[in-house]
Amino acid sequence: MQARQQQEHEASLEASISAWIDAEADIRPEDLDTPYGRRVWDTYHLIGDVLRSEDLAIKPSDFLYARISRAIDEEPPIVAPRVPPIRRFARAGVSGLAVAAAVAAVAWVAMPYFTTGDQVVMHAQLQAAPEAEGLYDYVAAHHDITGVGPVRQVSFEPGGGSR
Amino acid sequence: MNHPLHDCRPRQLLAPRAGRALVAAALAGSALLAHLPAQAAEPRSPEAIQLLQRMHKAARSLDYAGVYTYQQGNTVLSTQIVHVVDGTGERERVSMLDGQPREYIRHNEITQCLLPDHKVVLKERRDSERFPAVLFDEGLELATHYVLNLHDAAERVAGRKCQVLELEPRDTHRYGYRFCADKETGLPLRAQTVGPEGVLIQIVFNTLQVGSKVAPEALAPAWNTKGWEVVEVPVQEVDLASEGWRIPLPPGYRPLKQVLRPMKAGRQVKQMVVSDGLASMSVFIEAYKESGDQPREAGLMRKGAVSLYRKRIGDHWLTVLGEVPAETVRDLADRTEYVPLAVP
Amino acid sequence: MNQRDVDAALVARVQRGDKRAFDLLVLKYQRKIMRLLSRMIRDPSEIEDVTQEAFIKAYRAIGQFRGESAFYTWLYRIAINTARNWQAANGRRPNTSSVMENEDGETFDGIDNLTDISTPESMLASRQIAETVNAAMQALPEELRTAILLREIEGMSYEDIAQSMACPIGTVRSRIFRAREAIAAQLKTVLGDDHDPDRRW
Repeated sequence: MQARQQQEHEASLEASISAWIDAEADIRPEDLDTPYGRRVWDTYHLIGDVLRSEDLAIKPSDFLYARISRAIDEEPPIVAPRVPPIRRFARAGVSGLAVAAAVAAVAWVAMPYFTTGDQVVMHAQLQAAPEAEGLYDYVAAHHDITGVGPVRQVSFEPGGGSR
Repeated sequence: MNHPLHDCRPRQLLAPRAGRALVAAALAGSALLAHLPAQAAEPRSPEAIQLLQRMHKAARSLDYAGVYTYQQGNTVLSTQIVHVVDGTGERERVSMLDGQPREYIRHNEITQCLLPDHKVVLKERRDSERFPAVLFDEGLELATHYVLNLHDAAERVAGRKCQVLELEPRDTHRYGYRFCADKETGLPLRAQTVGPEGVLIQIVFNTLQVGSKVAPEALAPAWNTKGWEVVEVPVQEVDLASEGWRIPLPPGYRPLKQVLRPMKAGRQVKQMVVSDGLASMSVFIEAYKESGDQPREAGLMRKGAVSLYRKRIGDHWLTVLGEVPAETVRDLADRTEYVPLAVP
Repeated sequence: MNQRDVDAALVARVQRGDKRAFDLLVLKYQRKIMRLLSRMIRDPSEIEDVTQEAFIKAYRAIGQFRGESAFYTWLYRIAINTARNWQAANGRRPNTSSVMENEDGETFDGIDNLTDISTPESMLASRQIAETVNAAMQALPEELRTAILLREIEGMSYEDIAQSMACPIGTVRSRIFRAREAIAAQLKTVLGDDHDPDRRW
């Protein structure tokens, strides 16, 4: 009769859900995509939670699940991000990689100093440093580790030296 | 120490719950107090340290997005930052709005620097952007080397109320700092490096959104990097002390990192980064070469907020630099010794 | 297949656009997340709001979940982060007690001031649920009780349980199922006809 067939169907549905929760069977996902299937899933997990820890004997308000479900429905579809995974480790082949410093405007100020006894007197004099480029590399390397956004420069040129 | 918690007499504690709360607070407080020097009777020092820690934690654990400007001398640069924490940790996107286009996409300690003009992705290890994560560590030792001061009057930055925290250096080995921390979230909205002449560097948020207003989609880079070359900076860890380098550090500074890295001209240089929690310096050591692209300058120089000192020690070049007073880099270099073990 | 595979299968479906698969993850973990958040959020009436926000945030981020960790580990970190953001945005000071975690990724308070998820109604419901489960367990025939305990408490696979109980795997599967059904039947009255997770309005 239909009632018994219905019962048998449900019994086997519940048995399948029980096995799938334990990772001991596959299940057709459509079986869980019904209100009844979800109720079984929820109750069986509740039982497991409570057996393990009585402070999981929580009854969230019904509105909670409904609210979450509805909010998820209103979310846009999932889009995978475009951040590229690192595929390989390449060293050579990129030349002239130096990215000109945006904070390069100020010239180096040489500070000659001289001592009078124990006192060191600083004496600032504007002197153009001829090879400021090379010095700037050190600053860039320093900011590479310690600097803030715009101060961080790309300073190294791979492929040019020994490893 | 005169901290009020130390005056608690157990008999005067109230109901057990209040008592437990006091004990809890005392336990939390004493962890901070243990690091304060004896003379730190400055009235609001523990509060100031708590605010610093709150700033540090906010920068690492909250979701936020905004645009900040970096000012040094006549240079003003704008940067956009998006920071989101999800189940995998921290995700961050930093885009330069001025100059050559460039973005840094970070996931925890791996950063990918996107260079669209070269179609290159540079992969590096870095554990956070330095703003707004202004501290290099928990900041527990800062009261030893700075006088901490909290201002009462709130200021407004980026349309938000913030509280000013000042750190005045106790010696001449470092500059001072001033932060304005968002009242609501603790995020630093403004960070200033202050020298004797005044403000040397200022970083300040112009706009800021926090929490659920931050859309994770904003983490997506501006360019499709398919087909770009991926390059990893080959950096090795080194141990300068074991090679014979004796580098005495000024009070409060500890080594953060010691690496061997390639420089732009392709030569290998050793770099040690040291910090007192806020201030930082780099010490570079390389073999002296007669010819080639190695810079020849020696002596003491300043460039904006950066002091740099360079000298030869035997067969090596030593370069010390940082956003610190000029004497600091010079003294460090002058006290450095090279005592290699004799090779049998 | 193991527990991680069950979650991974559901996550994969969500990533392909199946929102109902996410619902199943919500049902599975909502209690654990609520318990976690109850340790960080003092006002019980706000716990469900933050729970909702945590799950929504997880849904938004699930495109980036690569299975580097177990799904629940990933989810609970999102929940902690959501609670912190929520505390910051609402001007709440975080608890002075630290939320520490044990190696299973479960959290517990360092200082003993757990907040109950305690409206009087919810406390009553919790007690009723716990008592019903306990009573139902006591009433089970021993072989059913043993089977479900080995599965839920010891986390043993059906095969290991079969060896332990010296019976075929099919019998293990049946015993566990029948134990769950017997307990679920008792819970129907406690959870009531209201317990329809699909009701939305």
